Amino acid sequence: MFDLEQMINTLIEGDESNLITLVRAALDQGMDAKRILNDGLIAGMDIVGAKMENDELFIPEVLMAAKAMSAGVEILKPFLSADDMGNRGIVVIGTVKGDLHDIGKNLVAMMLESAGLEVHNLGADVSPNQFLEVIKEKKAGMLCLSALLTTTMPMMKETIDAVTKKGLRKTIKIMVGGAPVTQNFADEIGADGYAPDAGSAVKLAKELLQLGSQKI
Amino acid sequence: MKAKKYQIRLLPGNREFYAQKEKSILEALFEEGIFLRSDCGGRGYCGKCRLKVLGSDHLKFSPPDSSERKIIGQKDLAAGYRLACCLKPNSDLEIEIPKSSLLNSDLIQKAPVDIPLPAKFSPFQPIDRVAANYGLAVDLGTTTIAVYLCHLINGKVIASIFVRNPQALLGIDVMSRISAVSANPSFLTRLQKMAVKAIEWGVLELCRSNRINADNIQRMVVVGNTIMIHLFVGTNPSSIGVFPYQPQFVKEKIFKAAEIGFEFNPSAEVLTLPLVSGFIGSDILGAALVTKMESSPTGSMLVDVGTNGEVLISGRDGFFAASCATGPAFEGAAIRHGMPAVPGAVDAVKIDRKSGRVICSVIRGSKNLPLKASGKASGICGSGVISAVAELRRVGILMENGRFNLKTDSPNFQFDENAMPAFVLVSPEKTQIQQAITLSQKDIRVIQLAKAALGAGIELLCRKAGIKHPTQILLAGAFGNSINKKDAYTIGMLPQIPETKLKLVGNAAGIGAISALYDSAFLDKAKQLRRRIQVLNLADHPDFQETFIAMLPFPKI
Ligand code: B12
Ligand code: FES
Repeated sequence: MFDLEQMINTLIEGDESNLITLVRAALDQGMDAKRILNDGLIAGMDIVGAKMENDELFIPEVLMAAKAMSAGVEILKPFLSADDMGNRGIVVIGTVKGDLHDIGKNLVAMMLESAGLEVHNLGADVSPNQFLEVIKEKKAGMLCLSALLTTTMPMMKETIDAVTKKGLRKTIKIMVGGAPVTQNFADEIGADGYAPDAGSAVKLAKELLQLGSQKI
Repeated sequence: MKAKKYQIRLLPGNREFYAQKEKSILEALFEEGIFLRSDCGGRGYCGKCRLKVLGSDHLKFSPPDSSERKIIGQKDLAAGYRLACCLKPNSDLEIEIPKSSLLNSDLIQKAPVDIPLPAKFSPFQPIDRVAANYGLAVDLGTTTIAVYLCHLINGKVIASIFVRNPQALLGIDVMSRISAVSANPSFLTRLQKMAVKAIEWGVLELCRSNRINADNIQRMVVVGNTIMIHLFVGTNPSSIGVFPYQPQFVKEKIFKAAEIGFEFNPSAEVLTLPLVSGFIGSDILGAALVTKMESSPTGSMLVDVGTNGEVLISGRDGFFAASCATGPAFEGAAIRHGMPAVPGAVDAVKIDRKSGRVICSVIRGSKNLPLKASGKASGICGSGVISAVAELRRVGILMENGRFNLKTDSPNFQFDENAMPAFVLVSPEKTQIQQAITLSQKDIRVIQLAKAALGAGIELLCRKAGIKHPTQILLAGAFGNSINKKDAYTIGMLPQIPETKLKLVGNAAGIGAISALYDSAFLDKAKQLRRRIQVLNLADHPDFQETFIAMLPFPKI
């Protein structure tokens, strides 16, 4: 049987070319694509997330792992049915209006995607209306807001208020984050959750969307 | 309904006061005139406002949220430590404030009287020769205010003083202060008064110790970053807080001292120099003029490291400037045991290659301000942090990717409850805080972010100016002349040009203000240079993210 352990370690090291070789080899040896995805790639990214949470892995390493992951997924795609990919949480993510910091938010988006969620990344300086439009269009189950400036934190509240006003608040979970954001602040503005880093963001997102550890 | 109040007893000393249920202990102490360090402005993420609650009931009555738990750590939480800004009383409390949390008078320090005015500066022209012949130059920094008392006729700096900017109570960085004003416009007046009072305090202190009648002060020139200058003149800076970060004004302003609240000589003239943009202020402009940037060869670069790292470069056709969001890590803030460069701060670190022993140099108290427990450290300042990180890199304890190399088995590693490593610089018995002074893995990450922000800014600015490397770098700001050039290169905060081409120019912004006092042509020169500067906005630069991430690791040794 093919050794997924090695694949996981290669992914954690962010070694894209070796990962591709291993994914191909696994397919050649007749391993089920869905199994490679779940027990290899996604399992590996779970570890990356955990290592990021305790500052062991830093941005460049996480980014490399996430890039390797998507290269691996590309290879698996032809062998995965829509069903294998389906039943995923739909997430809309962006940095709030007035704020252009998007590195952290992009990292969160990549990790969510690596965890198998469908992610629509709207970029930075996103107005409440832009968020609303995409939420409706994509029928999103989760909204993720990022802010890195103390001056744009109030915009998170405004965005959440706009969602409430449109009557969408009951059908969507809202998660907030960014360096100056705290759990306290998240509670104050009526968000459903806060996570201090991309690793814990994934865990929390699955929890809020009640995906649990259920495989996709 | 009357707000519910609880009794707070402060130890040692048994001072008692009442605090409202809705207000944090930080605010309650503030109203009692007890100022704690509050770098994040009481928003619960800097961890500087720690205090110790005696008795364990507080955990039950006002339990910490997950963010506070994470900052304090399980062990300290059990020992009673809490964040003053998060703790709202829900019962009577007995508290103890650790010395390291106090924003105390140790932080107000006298600067050396003879600041280095390099000979290369053109001699100053006295403005006129009337009797009232003293002037004041002020560098209004976000963290520190430098006040220079000068003789307008013989062109001498008589004395100078550094005063801690009391606005720090509402947050250590400019954005926190802007949000304080945006949330509550009455804070504008409060912040304005704080700046004026602090300067006035410095002025009176200078006049008293030099036996000068304050009535004889004729002029004051103030430089500072754009937000500080807005606050100083009482203009609401909120627009600079959000994209596209537009200032309300950039022109110079002239007031009578009394108009903005000074009392020392109501009729003295106060001048603020012109600003460049929302994040490029008159401090940079002043520094650029005294370092002769306007006539320097292509490729000359001025780097001013403060809470933001501002960079100005002379390109083939004109000047380009950018503000790099380094954050205050190089000033010793945003780091677990970080502190300003005042007595008690570790300012350089060496590790003995053979024994692995860590040797720290600690800033001692001056004659005027003797440090009580002399020689004992209470934290680490910016140049200390840079020195420590560089040394850890050299001995291999810190790897290129910024991770501690646990395989080195250094006895100085210490682990928290999540098994995260920190490196012990000073052991508890040698500190004033009865706690080890450490650099944690998280601290290293903050330094990496800061140096990458500066590095990426410099790189993109060079590209914009059409040059490969700066031909010379003039380094001004926070650490004055105390930074070690090799250390700066080792951690990768500056491009590695030959050491002789890296010049430390100290508080060039302050010297700019002094020059403007004497040199009647200075204001015009500033206005001219201002027009030649093009500001590069890094925020929507397509290459920023890639460049920034590429700069996060440390350079190879
Ligand atoms: C890089 C950077 C920039 C870049 C941004 C480039 C970009 N495309 O993003 C540039 C140079 C353009 C920039 C500009 C400015 N910046 Co800036 N910047 C930084 C810096 C150095 C690092 C931020 C970063 O990318 N961190 C790395 C990422 C991975 O971490 P992160 O963003 O925190 O994200 C993690 C978590 O927070 C969380 N997370 C993030 N989003 C979300 C969302 C959800 C839903 C969840 C669950 C979690 C989550 O997960 C992420 C991954 O683990 C910080 C300093 C610092 N040490 O943080 C300053 C900083 C954020 N900037 C600051 C400032 C003031 C500015 C400027 C306004 C002024 C200036 N010129 O300096 C401008 C404004 C422009 C703008 N964009 O709005 C200040 C903010 C201060 C404050 N109190 O508000 C900081 C803190 C520096 C400082 N102290 O001065 N900046
Ligand atoms: S954490 Fe309390 S003031 Fe910053």
